[in-house]
Amino acid sequence: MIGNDVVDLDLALKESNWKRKGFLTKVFTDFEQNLIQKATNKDEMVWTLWSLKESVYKASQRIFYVQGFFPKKIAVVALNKNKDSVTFYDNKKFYGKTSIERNCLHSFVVIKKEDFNFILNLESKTYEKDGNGLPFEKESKIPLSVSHHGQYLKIIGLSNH
Amino acid sequence: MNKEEIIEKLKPIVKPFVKDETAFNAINEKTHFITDLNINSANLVDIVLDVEEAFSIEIDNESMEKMLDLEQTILIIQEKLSTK
Repeated sequence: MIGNDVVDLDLALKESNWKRKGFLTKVFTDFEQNLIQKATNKDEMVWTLWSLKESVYKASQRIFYVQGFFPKKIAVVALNKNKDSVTFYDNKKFYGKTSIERNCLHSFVVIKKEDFNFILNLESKTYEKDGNGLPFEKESKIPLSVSHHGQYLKIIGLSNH
Repeated sequence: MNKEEIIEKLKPIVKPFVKDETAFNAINEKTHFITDLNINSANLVDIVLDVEEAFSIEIDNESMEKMLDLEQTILIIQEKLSTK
């Protein structure tokens, strides 16, 4: 069970204005808004939290296929200095990691902490989609999570173990 | 406000977030914001906020959850307008 989300921070700056009135309260819980308020780099914090929510949304679609837009129901409840995180959705717990290299912010989430040892970063686009539009690797049938934003493409999978 | 009037009022709200002009020109009641218009989810929030402003209504989280296509959006706007 995995999900990932990549944010091209340059593009996000151009495409979205999270500072507009009402934006933060529509998307973020009180706890998350507090993290944003306290952050020295607020842009980075906004998109870290956003990408964790998106990752959990994607991962949860593998558990039960849902459609809907409910960013506030997916709640980041812990985030440390190394950007390790815990997020809850529908009473399910997701462990997350976020990395930032230059303007590429990438988050991914798993359900069991051990799964962090089995993350595969795939370069190629050799994936197909099932009837629900969920991607999997062509040959191994490993379920994947694919995220594309601006100039970045990140494909991750969970190896069989 | 009827469907057609609402759609006309929604078009300029949606336009800045759609890169594909052909898809935009084909907008109708069945259009899905993400699958048809390729709008990213952060911009969905902008659309919700713009709709609130344009129609002077408040969209609660429960309604926002369903605002993924024009059909639902129209229903939500009509419902909120009627209870104003």
